Amino acid sequence: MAKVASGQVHKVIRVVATSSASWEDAARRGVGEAVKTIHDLSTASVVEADAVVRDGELRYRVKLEMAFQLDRSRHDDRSETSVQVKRYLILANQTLPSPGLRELIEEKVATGHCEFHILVPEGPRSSVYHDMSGTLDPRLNEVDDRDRLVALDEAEERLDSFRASFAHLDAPLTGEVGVGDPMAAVRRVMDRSTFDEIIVSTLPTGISRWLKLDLPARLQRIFRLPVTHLVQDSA
Amino acid sequence: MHGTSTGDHEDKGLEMDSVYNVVELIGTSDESWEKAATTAVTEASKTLRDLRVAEVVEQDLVIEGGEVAMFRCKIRLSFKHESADG
Repeated sequence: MAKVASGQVHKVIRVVATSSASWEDAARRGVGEAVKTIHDLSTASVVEADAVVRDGELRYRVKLEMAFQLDRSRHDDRSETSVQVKRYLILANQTLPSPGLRELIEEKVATGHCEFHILVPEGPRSSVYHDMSGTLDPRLNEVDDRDRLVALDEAEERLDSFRASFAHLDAPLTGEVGVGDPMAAVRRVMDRSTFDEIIVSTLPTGISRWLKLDLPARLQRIFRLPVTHLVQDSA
Repeated sequence: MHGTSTGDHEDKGLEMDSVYNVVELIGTSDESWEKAATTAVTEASKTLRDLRVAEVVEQDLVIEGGEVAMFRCKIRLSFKHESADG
């Protein structure tokens, strides 16, 4: 039923989603996840629908297939012509509110049609082990879990206020908080979308955990995309 | 869309040598795939007699504004063929 116009190149993604309520609910979740990074989704086909039993309870599972245009040429209603859209993936966490990133985005928007997706990776903290003895300390683990939830909330808040501050901008700006280490978070986003460039915003060398991981160079190597590295102070 | 089939639809208890028509219909609903399928069958029952089996062949959904706007269900419906010479 989902028809794709001829002469265009499309990327197809598959999303598996589950729900304890219904297949419809599962499908809504899958779509909700996919639209975080892809704007021009119009239909999703059910490839498979089944149910799994987990802990004695039935969970509904759907595998959805969605297609979107890969060449990024979009129809512009105002000028009735086709335009090329550049898509940027922005990686930032603590430096998200600082002015440098804002300037860069405004600069990109001024040069042409752009879309931005902001990924705020909130990686696991490795203080599960007792600092002195090196043994697993359940009390420390508890504290760590609480810290992580606070950190996730803070990341969501940072993202929300950042997106709100760009509400006036004439460019789609989506975002998400990715759990896990930054490389894994980027890979998950890449699996369900495509980008033309990655922008990494970090703290200065010496403080930045991402620079210790050599993140900008690794991103460039693995995803074969131009990477712009922005060094900023935490705002 | 209209085809004739003597395939899977011959069960025990049905008379021998019968012929069934098969049509495909797409039903929509903003609520569920079940409702979408029911809509299609209900609509078909207004004009077709002796409906036998409705088989779901495809399910998809329409996305608008980042949300699910409509569930669609394509069903294959078989009904008894009425021959011209009765």
